[in-house]
Amino acid sequence: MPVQTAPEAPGISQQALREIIAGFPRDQSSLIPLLQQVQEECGYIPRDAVDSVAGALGLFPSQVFGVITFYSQFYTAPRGRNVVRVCRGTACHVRGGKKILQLIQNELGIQDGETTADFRFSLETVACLGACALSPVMVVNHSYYGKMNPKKIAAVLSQYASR
Amino acid sequence: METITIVLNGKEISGRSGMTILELAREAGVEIPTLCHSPHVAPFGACRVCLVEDEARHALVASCVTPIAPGMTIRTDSPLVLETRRTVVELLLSSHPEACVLCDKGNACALRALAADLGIGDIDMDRIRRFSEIETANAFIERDLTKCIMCGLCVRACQEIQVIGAIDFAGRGFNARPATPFDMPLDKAACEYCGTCVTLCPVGALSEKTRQYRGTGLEQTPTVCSFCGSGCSIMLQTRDNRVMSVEPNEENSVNGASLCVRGHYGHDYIHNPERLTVPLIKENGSFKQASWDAALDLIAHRLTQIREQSGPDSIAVFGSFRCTNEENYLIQKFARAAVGTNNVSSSARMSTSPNIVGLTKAFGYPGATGTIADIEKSGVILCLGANPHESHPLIAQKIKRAARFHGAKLLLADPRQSRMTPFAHLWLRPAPGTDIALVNAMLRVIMDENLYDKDFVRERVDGLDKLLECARRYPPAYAAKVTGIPEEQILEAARIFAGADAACIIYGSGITHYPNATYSVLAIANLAMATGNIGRPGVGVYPLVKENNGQGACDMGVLPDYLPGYRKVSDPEARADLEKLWGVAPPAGDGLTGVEIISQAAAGGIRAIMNVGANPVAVFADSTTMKKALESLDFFVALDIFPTPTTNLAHVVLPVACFAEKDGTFTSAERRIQRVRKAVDPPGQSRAEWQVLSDLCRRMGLPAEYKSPADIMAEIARAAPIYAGVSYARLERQTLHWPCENADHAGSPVLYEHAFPHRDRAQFMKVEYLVPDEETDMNFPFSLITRSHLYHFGSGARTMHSKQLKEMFPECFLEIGAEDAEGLAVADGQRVKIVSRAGSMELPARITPGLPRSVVFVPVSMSAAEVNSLFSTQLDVVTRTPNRKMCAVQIERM
Repeated sequence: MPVQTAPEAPGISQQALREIIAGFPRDQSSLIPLLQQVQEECGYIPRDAVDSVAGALGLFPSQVFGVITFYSQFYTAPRGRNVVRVCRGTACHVRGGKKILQLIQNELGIQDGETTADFRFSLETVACLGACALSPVMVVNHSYYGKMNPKKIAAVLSQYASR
Repeated sequence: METITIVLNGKEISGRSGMTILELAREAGVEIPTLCHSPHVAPFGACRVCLVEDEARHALVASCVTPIAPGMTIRTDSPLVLETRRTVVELLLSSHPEACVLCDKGNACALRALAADLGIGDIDMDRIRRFSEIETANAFIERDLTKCIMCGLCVRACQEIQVIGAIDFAGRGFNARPATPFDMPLDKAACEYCGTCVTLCPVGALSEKTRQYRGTGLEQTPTVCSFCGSGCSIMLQTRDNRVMSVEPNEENSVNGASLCVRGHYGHDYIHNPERLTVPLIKENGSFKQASWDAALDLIAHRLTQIREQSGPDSIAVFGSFRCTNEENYLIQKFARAAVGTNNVSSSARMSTSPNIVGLTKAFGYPGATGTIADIEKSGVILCLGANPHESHPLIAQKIKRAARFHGAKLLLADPRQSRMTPFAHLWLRPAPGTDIALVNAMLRVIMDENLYDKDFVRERVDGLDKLLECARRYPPAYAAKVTGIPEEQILEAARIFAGADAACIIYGSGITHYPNATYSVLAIANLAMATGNIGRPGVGVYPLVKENNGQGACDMGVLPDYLPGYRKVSDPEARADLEKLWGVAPPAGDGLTGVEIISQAAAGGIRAIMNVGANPVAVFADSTTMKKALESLDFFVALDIFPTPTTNLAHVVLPVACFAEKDGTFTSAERRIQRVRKAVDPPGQSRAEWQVLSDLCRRMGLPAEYKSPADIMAEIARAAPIYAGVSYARLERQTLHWPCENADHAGSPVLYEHAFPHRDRAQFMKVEYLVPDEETDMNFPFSLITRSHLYHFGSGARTMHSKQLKEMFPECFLEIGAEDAEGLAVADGQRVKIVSRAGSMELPARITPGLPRSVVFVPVSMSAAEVNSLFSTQLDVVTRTPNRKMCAVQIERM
């Protein structure tokens, strides 16, 4: 009988963390770029990483947490390996952005701000992606998909289905 | 210092460059309200209540963060200032719950007081409701963040004063709040419940759990904390003869606004219903209540009888660090003059003797060479055999502040990972008991590389040949083998230490409780002298005297070989001086030490012991033998505040006053003499020890007419030259560091600035490294090390009677590394049996990160008697004090 295991949340090994930390000067000014690199590696800032980063830079973990929660770019909960951002700006809204969001929510089975159980996708909305000429627009990871319509959604998402 | 003149409210006024407008205004008596300001932390400029008008610029500036500048014209009371201040307070109130009736802060709330001053009643703003759960999960602190005004005092108290950093601001905008990482509850975060945040919180967001809605004290009494040797000043808040709460006393204090969890929340033992309240006399094996007269008559009668039958040296007297200087003075006077024996000792002696002998030989005085505050002036701090974070939290705070904010390098020698480790520049992990080898090897490197302070050594120290001879025997490679510290780390530590402009050495019971303690102290003194680190602020040697008055008990001569003020018993001149003062000559030969008294009790040489406040069954090594010895006594008297394993063995038990119930003085680990003041009455019939001892002296035929402890201090000043200038009149206004030679002498915060007491020179001493007898073998493969614990203290007699401290840590435990636990198949929390060559005990195991292999730790204070039963009586070769630090054990699953 095959054993069912829960999909593992993305994390970061102590080894990988040490390597990242080794790449920065041990100075408080390294904090934000270091956190960005950790997040680049595993999609969010795990608790262990807060302690290690604080220790390496001579800060208290509470100070690191303060910085993480101040900037909206940092996440403290595991996120999907692929981050889908749907534009809710005015131009996209006029051209059906709301519908696109609804369809993606149906497709992925999650709401704005949530992550799928298999950690494949996280869904976010943004106020404007600055690509109004392509509206309605969505971004997956660092790739832009413009002039979206219901048919294209499944095709775009399926490209990431195996990642 | 440059002087700057500004115009403040129309008047010209001058201040020093760097001062803020607020500081200058307060100096000039001009009131500016603040909410986020405290002199103990850096200015923050958060609350905007202190805005003043800079008329030249037509601008409002926050006076707490704006430095004065030439030509400034400041108004603190212009219509614009008042209107703005009013709006700021209204805005704060608009998001503050209208729950003053239910708020424990009551009239102590700074926000409420400010609103009242400004005449703000109802406000006509839409209220912003905030919802946040009241955090009550821990034993000490309640957090209601709906009341938070974001002044940041708690965050700064935690980070800047205590350097713990459990909290910082998290979130942004309306969501911003002081928070632990990941909003963990306080008991899961780094919080140590020092309560400094509660002390500084201007509103009711942080409060003490026990004080909830019981109101605050009506009177307050400044006194000194009764736990560790740091000597923190506290304010006892009392009402209806009860201590309601304890706050730091900032005036003239070593601790400013800070306390630790023990000092802040552990003093509820004062009113514990288990306190002894009536004299007890044992009849047919059980205690019967007795009158004071009956009990004191019986004691005088029996002691006189035994003295007549077997001579004065068949009687011994124990004193205690729990007692005041005045009481300890009377204890030794009672022994020497009323009974006629030098058999007088205390448990403080066991920790302090290696310091007394070692530091006296090297420098001249047995005490820390500098002040606790000056630790922050050190550039390099070598901390060894100590875990100040748990034993002396205030000293840990100074070390951490030096390391984090003043760039000091901490050289931390500790086998165990601790809260100090993250602050270490270099973390050395010596095998337990091998610190001498480390220190001597550092000296070898310093001498070999010619890094020693040649001028200092030539001008002020004798015996360089002895130093060179010791150092020669410790090549770093050899020390590396003995200590397990990599050779390059020893080299680095030596170079860093020698290269410092100001370096100090802090050491604790990890040095003084080993059988080679005296030699370790001498090695430490050698290192300080060789590098010229003596006689200035920020340098020197700091023995961490464990107990509140451990220093004082020894200063007063509660020692078998020293009279008050460390004059030797063998010194005929000293004895003659005391004879003049007492009318009775103290006996000539040295008395027995604590351990010898006990072994003589077992052998029959000692027939009676008068025990004032000590708990030998719990704190001496080998408690099983101890118990038997005390049981075999013909007469045993115990004075204490709680029933203890020791009082249970007594024939007469006398109930006495705790520190809050009497006047006196304590002398802290920095030789600082401070007043202890009576805040409440002793419970039931209990009396202060000084009264009991005076009474007993009289009953034994020695005049002792003391009206108050002040009279006793006047006598101490004549008996102990280092206290000669001390009087209650002076101590009312200030604290004094001994030696204080006469009424005009200001005391000596820093020792040896100009000269050493013996022939003006210090002495390098020869040092032996002795391998501890307690070596591990096949049958006892683990080294067990005892350690202090932040939440408990001493024998635990007091802290285990503190409801909150006991709730936090109710039981002793064994700390074991994950690999060792796995090897024994012991799970976290599982009970194990520890067996040593001397005894055994059972306790739960806690798997603890950061321990060396095959070394386990036990915090001693929660089950002191059981832990000390594991130790055999192995004595320091010089001072005959027992090893109570390390023993070889086997660990068995249960």
